[in-house]
Amino acid sequence: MKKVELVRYIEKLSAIKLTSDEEEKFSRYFERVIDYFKVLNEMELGEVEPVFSALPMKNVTREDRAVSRDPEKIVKNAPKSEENYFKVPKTI
Amino acid sequence: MKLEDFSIFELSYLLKKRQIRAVEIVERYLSIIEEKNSKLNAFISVNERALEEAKRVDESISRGEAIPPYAGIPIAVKDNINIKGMETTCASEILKGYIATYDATAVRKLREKGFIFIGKTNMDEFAMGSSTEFSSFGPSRNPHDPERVAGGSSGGSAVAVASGMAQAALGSDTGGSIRLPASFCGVYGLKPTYGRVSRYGLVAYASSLDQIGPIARNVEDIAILLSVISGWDENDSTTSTMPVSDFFEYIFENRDRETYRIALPEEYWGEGLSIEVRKVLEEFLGFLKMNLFKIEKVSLPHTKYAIPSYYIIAMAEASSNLGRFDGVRYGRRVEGRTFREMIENTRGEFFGEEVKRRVLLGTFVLSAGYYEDYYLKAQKARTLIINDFKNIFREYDFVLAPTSPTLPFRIGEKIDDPLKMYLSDIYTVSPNLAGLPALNIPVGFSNGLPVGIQLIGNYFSENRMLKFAYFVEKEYSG
Amino acid sequence: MMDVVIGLEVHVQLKTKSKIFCSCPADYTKDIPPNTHICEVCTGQPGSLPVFNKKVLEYGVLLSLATESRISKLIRFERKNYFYPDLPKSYQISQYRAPLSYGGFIELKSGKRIRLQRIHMEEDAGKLVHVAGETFIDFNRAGVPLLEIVTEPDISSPDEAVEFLTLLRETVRYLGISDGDMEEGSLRCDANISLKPEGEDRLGTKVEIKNINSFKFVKRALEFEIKRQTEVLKSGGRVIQETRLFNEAKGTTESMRTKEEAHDYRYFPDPDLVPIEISQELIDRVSEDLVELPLQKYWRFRKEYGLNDERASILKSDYYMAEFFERTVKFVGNPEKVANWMTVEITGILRNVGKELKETPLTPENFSSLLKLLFEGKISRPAAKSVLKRALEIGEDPIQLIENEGLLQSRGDLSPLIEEILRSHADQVKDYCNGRKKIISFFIGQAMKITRGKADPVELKKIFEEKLKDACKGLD
Repeated sequence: MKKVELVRYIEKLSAIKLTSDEEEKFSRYFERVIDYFKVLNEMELGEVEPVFSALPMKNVTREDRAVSRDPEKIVKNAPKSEENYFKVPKTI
Repeated sequence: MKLEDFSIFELSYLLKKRQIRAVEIVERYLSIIEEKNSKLNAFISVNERALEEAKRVDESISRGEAIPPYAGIPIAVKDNINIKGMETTCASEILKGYIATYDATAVRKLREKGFIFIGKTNMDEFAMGSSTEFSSFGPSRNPHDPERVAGGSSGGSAVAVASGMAQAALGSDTGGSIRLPASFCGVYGLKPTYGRVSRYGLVAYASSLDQIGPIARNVEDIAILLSVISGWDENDSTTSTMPVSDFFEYIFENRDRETYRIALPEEYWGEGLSIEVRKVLEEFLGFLKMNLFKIEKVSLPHTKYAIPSYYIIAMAEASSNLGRFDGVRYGRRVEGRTFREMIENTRGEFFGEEVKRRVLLGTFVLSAGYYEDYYLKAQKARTLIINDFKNIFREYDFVLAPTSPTLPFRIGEKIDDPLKMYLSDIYTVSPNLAGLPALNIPVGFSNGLPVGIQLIGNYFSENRMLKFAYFVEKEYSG
Repeated sequence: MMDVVIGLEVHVQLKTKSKIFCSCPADYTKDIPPNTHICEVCTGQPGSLPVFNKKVLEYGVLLSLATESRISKLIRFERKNYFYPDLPKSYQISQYRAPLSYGGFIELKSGKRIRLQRIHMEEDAGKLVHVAGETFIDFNRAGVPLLEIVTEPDISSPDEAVEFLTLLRETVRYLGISDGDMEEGSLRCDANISLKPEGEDRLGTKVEIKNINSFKFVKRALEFEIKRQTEVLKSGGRVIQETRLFNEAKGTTESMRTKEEAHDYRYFPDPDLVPIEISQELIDRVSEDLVELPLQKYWRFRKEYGLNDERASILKSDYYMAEFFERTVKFVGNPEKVANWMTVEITGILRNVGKELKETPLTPENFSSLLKLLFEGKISRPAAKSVLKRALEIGEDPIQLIENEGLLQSRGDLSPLIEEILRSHADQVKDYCNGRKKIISFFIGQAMKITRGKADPVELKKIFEEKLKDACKGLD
């Protein structure tokens, strides 16, 4: 993928619209930081297991109990709503 | 003695003895806010009901009713932590107008103990930054020199505490966001062990690194706040079930001084450290040696991988965590013809520059074909960094490191060079990657600007860390 | 000839009380007003965090055991990132690299095994209503627990696909973990289908079919797609890899024709949830809830009770009905007759009134009593049928009905009636004696009329034959 295409692809995946100025600026930043990240390639990582959390925690679950709450305030925060539905423009 | 020189414990005592009223305390803090906030920009919003709540405390006391232990003490809260009924903006255009529908667990616990929330503090947008310059409300300013940054991202909280606008504050720390501003402003700031404090109600930046923690002017207050906010929470699967001790009692217990074994990792004391900061810190090390603590140089060999690993992990998690800000359920929206257009416009318009950079880059490191090269590699480096610390803590009680490589820098100095800004966190990100507790202790000044040292402890050793800090406070700083 | 290669991705909604990551009620049916079963967690409010419902794990383990899947020792949840209005966090919490289980199978009647690639747990999305250029969102369904079952491409015809889905539906119902109802959306199915020349190893281009919302459409959609692809290939064309939607009204599949988002979901382990270790203890405890599965039951019914394919199939389709059958047989024997009554009469009546057997007052006990009366000739077949019908329709105890209406009959009671009929129809008796034996049905009809159907016609015929024999002797 060419750099411009890659940046546009990332914009789409992130759902962020950049101006062409921003695109250019981001491209430069992107290249520099990715280059900096490459220091990780120095490491010998053969047998190393990744950790996805700092502390080894496991098996946290809750009981299957249902509680009804008052959700009125939640819909109130919506930029647009109607008859207790959240409202957005059409999907296609 | 000024009111703001008292500790939480002292104020509560005076209140219960009716030697001071809650309204007086709150009025005093509100007047300092009135006086200083326009210049220092610590607060995004001030709680209009604070005085009313203080009145209720006084009424309860005058009726002789039982009151919670810390009733009437004003606390500031970083604006990425929910207080029910108040706006949470994360200093972002995209969330303006969002009224939190629930209390964060840490906030609920403070409320139950009687604390009054005096306001929400300024920060880097979504906690992404090291200077509080990336705020849509403008930068917070360092109380010791308003031309300089407060540090970030919890800059508003540190400024509020350092300048006496609140008794203490909550911040959040993902890669140094409590410790760095605490150091720049000359106050104490603790990032607890990961899982010590519930993250429920903290707007997530990087979930595996974020922790809420206290910022205060003295060690006692840090201990009290930590005791209140710590503990397992059924709403946060990543909280620890480890019992929480009363940290405040602990620091006074067993007054005989312990001897500590302290490790100085050479990677933290090398050439990146500025001369001004080094001088102040070495003086402090001299004091420790005088007290016959065992201080030895050690190595944490994978330290150089900490910054890239940290930024890869934090950005990756952030790219996913910030997806929910799409203009559908809360916050602001820029309209579009289709749903897709609407969310792209909204996020393009209302996210700030640094947030966009990190979300975009975070998206990239997780995307097909790059996951293994960046994200997975960073998580492996994390294993190595954790092992480095585990080895050290087999033989030592604490690791001591600078909190910041430099003195507080000038506003605008690093804002155009993201990579340079990222390196401000060079000494603070490792404890987040490893989940270890770390505390900034103010140990002096250079050119009138505060310098802090970073105390890193083993998992869940906050009690011993605070005891050590209390000793330093009494014997060195005080 | 072309070989058909089908793989299915089935979503089964679990019948838990609460949602998978919060304590909101998991009930989102039409009667629940929009956005009332929601909270901070399932609408992705800033700062909210998920906590995993352990019942979902137990149900998932149960289905894994029932399909002989290998259960992973350590599982984790991952985030599947994409933007859509029904997805409140911009990611779905799902499983990717460490799913719940893999490598199971469901066996068809033919003995062929449809292998399962994997079973994993995930959260459902909200519901969208599209009205005049706008989209309305209801999050009541967001966070309802799902199991996703992915098959290997082992299915070679629409009929096999239907049989597989039927067995899967019956299995989840037997286990009590889901309603398995396609029309209500508690069982959803996407199909991948491709054609290849007979005997060829390499797979053809696969097409994904979505929006198959009913059992009867599964076959229609797949048959249409096979026909469409066959025609494309015959005319020298090339099948395009795409997603097609089934159009119920036309019975066709149609290309989505939208610019598809790149399927780059950026899966990574959800840092808000911790890994789950599945212990042998948990597996042992859950396995106590395992029951005999539909196909096992089918084969046992055929062997043990000598039932034919159709009857065994119907009986095994519903756990309660199968149990009902076996208990009834225990009381009254006659498995074939019992099966017949259940699969023809009862099933027919229930279909008409739109009820399920367990919703009626009919029990194996009172049904057995009814059958016993019938087998002993104490009640006529038409009377038994009408009692059964009313019992199922209006919900009354059948034995009570028989007593209330005096439906019990006896041989002695019928004799005077029959003699009276013969007396008043002397001409017809003469005809009978002269060889028109068929006229006996006229006499039976008369008797039925007078008894208003209470009498058993078989019994009547027997008695009429005896009495007429005597009468003819008298004529000689």
